[in-house]
Formats: sequence, C-alpha cells, structure tokens
Amino acid sequence: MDITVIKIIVFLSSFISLAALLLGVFRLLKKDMPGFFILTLCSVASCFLQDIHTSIGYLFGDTSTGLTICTVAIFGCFMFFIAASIGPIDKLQDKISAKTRLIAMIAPIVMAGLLIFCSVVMFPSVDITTFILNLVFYLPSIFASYFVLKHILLNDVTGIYKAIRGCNIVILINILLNMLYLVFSVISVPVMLLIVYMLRSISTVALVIESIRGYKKWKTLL
Amino acid sequence: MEDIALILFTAIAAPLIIMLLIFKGKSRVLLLCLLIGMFMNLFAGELNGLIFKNTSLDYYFVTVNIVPIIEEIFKILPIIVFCYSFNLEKQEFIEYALSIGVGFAILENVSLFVSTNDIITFPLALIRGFGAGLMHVITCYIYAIGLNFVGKKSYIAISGTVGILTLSILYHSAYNIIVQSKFSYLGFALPLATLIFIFIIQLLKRKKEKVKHENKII
Repeated sequence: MDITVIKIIVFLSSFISLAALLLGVFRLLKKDMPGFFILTLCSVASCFLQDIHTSIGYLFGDTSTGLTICTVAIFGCFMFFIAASIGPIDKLQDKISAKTRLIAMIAPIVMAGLLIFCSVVMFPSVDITTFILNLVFYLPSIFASYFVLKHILLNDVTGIYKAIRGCNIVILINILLNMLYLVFSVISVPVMLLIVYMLRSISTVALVIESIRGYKKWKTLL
Repeated sequence: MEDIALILFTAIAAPLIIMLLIFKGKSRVLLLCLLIGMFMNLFAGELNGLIFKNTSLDYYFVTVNIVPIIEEIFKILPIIVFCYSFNLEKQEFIEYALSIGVGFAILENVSLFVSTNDIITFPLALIRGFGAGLMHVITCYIYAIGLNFVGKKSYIAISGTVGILTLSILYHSAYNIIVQSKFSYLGFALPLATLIFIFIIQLLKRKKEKVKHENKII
C-alpha cells in the first residue's frame, strides 16, 4: 500500500482524536463531573496518545509495526473502560436476572473468541514474549465488554443506565474495533487495519459526543 | 570506570542530604521528594543499562518501547506511596509529585551530559535540559492529577492507576521518538505545547470560577 495514503490516514485519525479530546476537555472537565465521564475522557486521551504516537513515528521515520508501545495505549484504554464501569455504577440495580447476565456474557465470549483466534494464528510466527504480552494487553477487553454490555441491558430505578446507554454502546464498539485492530494486524490485512484505525478515531468523537449528551441527561436525574 | 550515574548521584545527593537535616516542614518533604526522584532515576538507569547490555535489541527500539515503561514505573512508585499512605491536600500532592519529577530529570540530564560531553553543545544542552525536564514534570503532573482522582475511590485504584501509567508511558515514548530524530531540537516542542495547553485550561477554569463567584455576589 502507498505510504502516502497510510500517512494521510494516520494524520487524519490523529486530528480526529485531537478534536475529540479537546471537545471532551472543554465540555466534560468540570468539578462536579461524575467519575464515569472523567474516566471515559481518559480513555479518549489514551486513544489520542496512541494516534499522536503513531503520527510522530511516521513523521520522524519510525514505521515499526507489530507489538509496539502503542499496544500499551489499547491496554490503558481497556483499563479506563473497566474503571468507568465498576464500583457504585455497577451496583445501581441489586437484582440482575440470570437471563441478563447470560446475554451480557455474549460480549466477553466474542472478545475471548477473537483473542483465541489471534493467539492461534499468531503463535507459530512470533516469539513467546510477544505472544504473552499481546495476550496480557488485550485480556482486559473481555472484562470491560462484560460490564459494558451488562449496563446496556440493564434498567435501574434512577435512570442512570438509560442516560449512559449511548455512551456504553460506543464504548462497546470501541472495544470491538480495538480487537479487530489486533485481528487484522495478526492476519496482516493493511487495508482493513487502516479502516479500523480510522473508525476507532471516529468512535472517540462519538464517545465524547455521547458523553456530553449522557451528562445532560444524568444532570436532570439528580 | 565506576558507574558514572552512581558517582553523580552521590555528588549531588550528599549536600542535599545535609540540607534535609536542616530544613523543616514542607521544604524538607519537597527536598526529600527531589532526592527520591533522583534515587529512582538511578535505579531506572541501572535497569536500562542491564537491558542494553544483555539483549540484542537495537538502541532505538529499546529507548522508544522499553525505556519509557521502566522509567515511568519507577517514577510512579513513590507517587503511589505518597497517594495511598498520606492524606495530602491536592495542591500539596501535586507539588510533591512534581518535585519527584524534577529530581528524576536532574540526574537523567546530568548523567546524559557527562556521558556525551564530547558532542554536547550549550544550545543542545539547553533544549535537552528544558525538554526532558519539562517532560518528566508533565508526566508527574499527569500522575498527581490522575492519582488524586482515582486514589479517593478504592474500587478503581488499580485499573485507574494502570490507565494513568499508560498515558504517561506513551507521552514519554513520543518524546523519545522526537529527540532521537533528525529534528531533536523539536523535542522541546512537545512538552512546551502540553504546558501551554495545561495553562490555557487552568486560565479558563479560573476565569469561569471568577465569573461564577461574581454572579453569586450579584
């Protein structure tokens, strides 16, 4: 693939992520802001740093692929999603039916499936350290996706789950895109990799917009 | 020759330790944080040296992908201790964290300049000194703000702390890419841009609070 096209997509993604981060910083960084939105914004910052890191790499001649430090950003992103979804926000509804729990398990099963698929494809071609590190960095996606899908399905008395539903849907899409990024990098499909890369940046903008919308709804509940 | 970083650390730390006995209160803690920062850099430097010696990885790969992880982990450790062991005010915590960052940067810069004294020039030292100094201070600022937030909520202590650590690692790595490129003088631009961004946010925040305060009075 033409390196100019790759560079354009990478730079464009960085600008999109920067726009998302700036929008989030100016609209969501408030004193009384609930932790959920702050941590979601942190995940946007993580995505932005990954994009800017890749852009700087391309700008200054570093085009290394595979397991690089950018994978740490994806790990950080998952950790922020987990942090945003656990704690009091996870206990808004006391009784969760077995059916809901079962449906919520779909997300982690899909993520685990993708991770197992990548592991099987990756294992013969990479050394054991890279293999283990990849597994460790992508493992939190399984936990994050479970909590996120559970919160999408639930309806609590206060209406908070309903307020952040849009936000959670975008988070789930973002997690899936991050996993697809791993899949396409393992099976080496550069075109799809770039498309996923671009889509992930767009999802960060959507995440910030949904967070702003969610916060407006959340405020009316208090 | 013996380890140059250890010699430099001893030379800088000895008078500071004497000062530590004289100072009292907050000044003493700030000085202690500065020393801790330098101490952490000594450890991180030793570990980095071991990796360079014992692995076949190239210099560029290590400095971009491994060094930031090691340095940031060593830098966050004392800040985590401060966060979870003492009940500090936000401003106080930020000052201590920044002090650790400054200490870290001091020993790193001095060690680098001594080991490259045949190629280093004054402008380069100025740029590198401010660039690396600012970068370490900014990463510590990220820790201080982040840990101040996640430290209050025990349920997100681990995931939040790890998330914050990854942010700083990436920032550090991006800086390392720039300073190793042909345009190493641009390395100063990244921390400077971040600093300006932080200042703008702080200014806007203060302005907003002022307007709110005035509206309350009216």
